Amino acid sequence: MDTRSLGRMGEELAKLFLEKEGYQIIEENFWCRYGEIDLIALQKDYLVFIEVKLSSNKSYMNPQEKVDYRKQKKLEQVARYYLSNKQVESDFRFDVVAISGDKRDREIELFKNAFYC
Amino acid sequence: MLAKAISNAVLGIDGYLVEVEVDLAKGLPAFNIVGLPDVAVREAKERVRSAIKNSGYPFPIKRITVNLAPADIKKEGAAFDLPIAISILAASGLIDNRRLDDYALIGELSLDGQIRGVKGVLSMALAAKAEAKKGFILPVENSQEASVVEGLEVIAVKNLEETIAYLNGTLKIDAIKENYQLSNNQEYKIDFSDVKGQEAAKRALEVAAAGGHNLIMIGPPGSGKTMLAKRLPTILPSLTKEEAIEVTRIFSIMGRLAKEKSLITNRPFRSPHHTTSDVGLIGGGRIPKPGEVSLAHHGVLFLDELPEFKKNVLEVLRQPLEEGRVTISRALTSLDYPAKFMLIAAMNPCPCGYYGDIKQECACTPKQVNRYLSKISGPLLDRIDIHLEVPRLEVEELTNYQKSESSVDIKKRVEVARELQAARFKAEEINCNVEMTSSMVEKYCIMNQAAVNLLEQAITRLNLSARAYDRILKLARTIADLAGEEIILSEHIAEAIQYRSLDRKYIGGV
Repeated sequence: MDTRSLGRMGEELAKLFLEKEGYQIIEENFWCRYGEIDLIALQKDYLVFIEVKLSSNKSYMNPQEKVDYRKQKKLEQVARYYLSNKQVESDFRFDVVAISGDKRDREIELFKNAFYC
Repeated sequence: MLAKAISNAVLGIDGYLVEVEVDLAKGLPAFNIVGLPDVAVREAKERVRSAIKNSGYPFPIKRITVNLAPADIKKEGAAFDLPIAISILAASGLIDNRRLDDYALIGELSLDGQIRGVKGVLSMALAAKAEAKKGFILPVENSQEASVVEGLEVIAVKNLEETIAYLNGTLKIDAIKENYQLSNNQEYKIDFSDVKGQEAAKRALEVAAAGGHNLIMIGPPGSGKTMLAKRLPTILPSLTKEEAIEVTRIFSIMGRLAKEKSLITNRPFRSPHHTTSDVGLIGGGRIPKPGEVSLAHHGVLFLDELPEFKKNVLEVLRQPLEEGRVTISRALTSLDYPAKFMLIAAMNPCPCGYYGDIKQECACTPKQVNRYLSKISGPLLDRIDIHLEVPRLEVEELTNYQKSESSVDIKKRVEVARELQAARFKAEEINCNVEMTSSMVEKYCIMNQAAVNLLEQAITRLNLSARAYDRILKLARTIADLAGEEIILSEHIAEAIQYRSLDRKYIGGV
């Protein structure tokens, strides 16, 4: 599998997982000139921007480690663009879904409010 | 969703109230602190977040803005952790706002929500009292210190949970009762009866203690100068409550207070090493901190080996000696610290130490002696009332030794003399003879005819300056007070004159 379809698969997995958790997905792969946000969902009062990260067992890093400062800033920028574009007025936060392991043994972890701006 | 808690900070030795305002707004989650916080205050973010989470409360995912008002004074230290945490919780509706207005809060948080002690609590408590706050919530460590302030409910808390429960009224905490004692019989491990011989020196120290005079001791090595100086606090009168509070405030700011004691009741004795810098002595820093002269406030500053101190270090002593306080100006601020202390100095008469000794010959050239002595400037020497020569002890004095008077007995006489002075200066806003101005000297130092004659003679013979005249009169006043005399007699003048030996013998011409 190439990286693109791997990513697509990860996002599918995350979507199923989040829906089970009570998230209402409202946007997939929101894309703008500043970058991309994998999933945007509503959970209770919050609008949640979700970044999905995959990591195989062979990888050196944990998936959650892959969302570094630069990526955080990028996500923030996209989120700001999204908010001003749609004129939404509610609380926001960023979540990270980290998927690790291989086909037989998948582990999905959800980090609520993963970072502050 | 706005909440406000009251906290305290210290600038110089005075506390002031700080309003910690927290606003929880919609927006991308962020946590910002404004109001000139320094690094330690900014780091409060991480401590507060962990402490709230680990105490079992939700940390709001909002745009959190913390404002520390007044915004124009730089805030230092970790003492705002507790008020920030409390106002965040209040803003998210977890704490009853009504009680929050009555209390000032202070404390550093650890990651698990425990509350740690902070510096300068006594000054903060006084500020809280001045601003008519009902109570003061603070770390257990600092509770004794603050309990000295009357009319302020001091609530000691161990952790964040306890604080929240107390503010919500679900937990009752009794206010800390003060437990300090200003006893007259302080315990000192040293005593004047340990000093063998040196009766003249003991007498001079008694006079110095009675009138608050500065004193310099000159003598060969091993004659007991340091030993004598260390025992001076044991004969000084006990601190009054106001004095004790002033002393404690300074030590509290420096974070040098013992946990279990609420007040410092012994007079401080500071003996900085002669390598001290001028900043170390009078205080300084970007935001000036008190130095040794302020730590010696209402106590004794002992400078051993006076000529070994750097010249600029000695010269900075002039202002505090004259005014009883130091003003330290830096780019950021200018602060005043109290520095009313007794200066006790000790020195050798020459580099080898034996100039003028009866047994051992001095190995220094006159030039060396001169250079050594010239390190102490005239203006500084002018501010020292008593010049005392401490000679070496004879063998007989060491072996045939009878235990001399104890500190307690000497202290009794000193206290009587101080009471006389206090009664005399009731209208003058000073406490002891050394603080008299020239006009006061004229008013209070009344001599009989014999004393006037003697003094006139001394002035012409010894070529004394006008300032020395005042000094001698002040000293004579103290000696007369010790003797219980209303009018200064010739014997008092005579004793006072012989304490001015350095004016002529060493400095005038070797």
